[in-house]
Amino acid sequence: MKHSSLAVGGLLIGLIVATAVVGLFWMPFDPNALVGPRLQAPGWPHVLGTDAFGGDIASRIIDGAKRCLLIGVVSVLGAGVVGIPVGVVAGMSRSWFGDVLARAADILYGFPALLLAILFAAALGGSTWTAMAAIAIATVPAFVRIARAATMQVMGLGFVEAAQLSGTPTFQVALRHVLPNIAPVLGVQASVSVGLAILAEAGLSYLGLGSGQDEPTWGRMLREAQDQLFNAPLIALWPGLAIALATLGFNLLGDGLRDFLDPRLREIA
Amino acid sequence: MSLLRSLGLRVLGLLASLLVASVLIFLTTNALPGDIAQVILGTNAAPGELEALRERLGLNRPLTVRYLEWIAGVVQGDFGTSMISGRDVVGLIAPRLEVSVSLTVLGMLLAVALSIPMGAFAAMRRRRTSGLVVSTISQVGLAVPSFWAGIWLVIIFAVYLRWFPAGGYVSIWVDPLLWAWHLVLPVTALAIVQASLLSRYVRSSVVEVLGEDWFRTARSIGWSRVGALLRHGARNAGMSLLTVVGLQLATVLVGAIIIEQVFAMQGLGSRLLLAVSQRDLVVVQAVVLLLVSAVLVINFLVDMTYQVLDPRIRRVGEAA
Repeated sequence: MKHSSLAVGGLLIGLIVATAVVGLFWMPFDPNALVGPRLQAPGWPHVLGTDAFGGDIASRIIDGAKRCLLIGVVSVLGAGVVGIPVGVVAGMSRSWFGDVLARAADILYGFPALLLAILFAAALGGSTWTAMAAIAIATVPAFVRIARAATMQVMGLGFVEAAQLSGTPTFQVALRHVLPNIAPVLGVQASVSVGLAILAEAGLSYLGLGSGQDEPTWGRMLREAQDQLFNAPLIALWPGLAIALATLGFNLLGDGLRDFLDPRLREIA
Repeated sequence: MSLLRSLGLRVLGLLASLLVASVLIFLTTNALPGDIAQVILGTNAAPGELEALRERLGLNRPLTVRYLEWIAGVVQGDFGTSMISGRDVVGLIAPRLEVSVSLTVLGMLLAVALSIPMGAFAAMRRRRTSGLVVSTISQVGLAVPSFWAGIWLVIIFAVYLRWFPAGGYVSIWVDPLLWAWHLVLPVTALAIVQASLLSRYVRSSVVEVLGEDWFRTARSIGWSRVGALLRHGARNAGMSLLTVVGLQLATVLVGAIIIEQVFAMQGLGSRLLLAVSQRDLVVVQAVVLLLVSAVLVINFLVDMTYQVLDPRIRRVGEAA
């Protein structure tokens, strides 16, 4: 019971990753081709049925898995690469500089990825890239805040003070003592952020501001399913279920990892 | 005096945030590569026409001048004219405010109303199955995209049961009953996800309250658990809920943009998306600035309320 969220989260993520990997090598049908009659109920050979255009839903779901993971993971990695160093610097700095960085992160925190993506789409046209960039930028402040809070916590510990007093260069203190100690907190944040990123991307492609027209994403599939609600409501089940399971997986993983954290750091995460 | 000073500092902070937000929005829509005149006229446009349109839209002038003109207009309530329809932007978006405000306010209220009993129940029964079930429901609710929830509400309550309309909107001034009837499904869709999130905060703050010394004291002198929670715990739990509600407001506003699409409602969101597809940057800027300002102003108000409600913070503010 104690580590069930970690186990279920890992299982769900494993399932999505496996689906994405299988999809790289094998697919029941071409996800972009019209392979069967329109709006067929689940059965054989179309396990999950066909959509309004006669595309195989199962293949499109499999193809969507890699896109969902790619966008979720890459955007969060990008946010971490920018946000973590800024947060650590802000946390270690004892001057006004740290406060300014923290204040800037506070102002930008909570600026919704979707609004940013809409701005990008208006200026540049919507694509996988604008969606990913918007989600990444919107996630940066969360990393700055959490990295700063955790760094400040770690800076108060004896061995860090000792390292500083013994003349270790600041950069080495950050690299050797701060980063390894705040890494678990950042891991929790990253996992939760991927869940949020997947939801945000789904919303964007549902609105038609995400990936291009010929790439199946779960959000876009839901948009198409919506026109068929009266004829074939089941079509709306699969893509939404996939989004929910992927998000749930990363949320649970984050929760499960949090239980393993040092109690002093748990409050921050 | 010091309370006034801290109020003054916060107002300055709010103004600074609004300024930064407006600059960022302006830069994103105006300084990113891409020629708007080209987009509007298409790739076959003659160079002369392009030049004339740039001249007409004022795209040839320096960025700073354009920003200052824009922001000076905004301060006076003039958001410019649409690049596509040539109409006044205020006139375009004002009729749509009602839909967005109704969705956001009701969605948030319903989410709060659901989250308090959910969170308190999950906290008080946290070692029993019933409490774990509620926690699990909120965990699952967090992962569900609101538009997917909306789609299922339509399938169940509009397509099969026919209890509620599948979409559309009726103004509260035209018919309050029809207004409410049309809002049931979209507001529920918005609130499900938010309630799941908020209930987790309620749960953890109630768990905290249950462990406090004064709570044990209240219990020992005969208060029931629910009674002591309501009498003494509500304020503590309410504080943390208030902060999260403020932070989540942006999410609900944006969630409403998507929910509008599910239920074919003509709010700010659908106007914004139309402007995006037309590359009508003046309208896009105006709507995004409006949404961001709403979020910043409401967070400011939440912050102030917090100060008034929590004497501990008030005292810290005075000492500073």
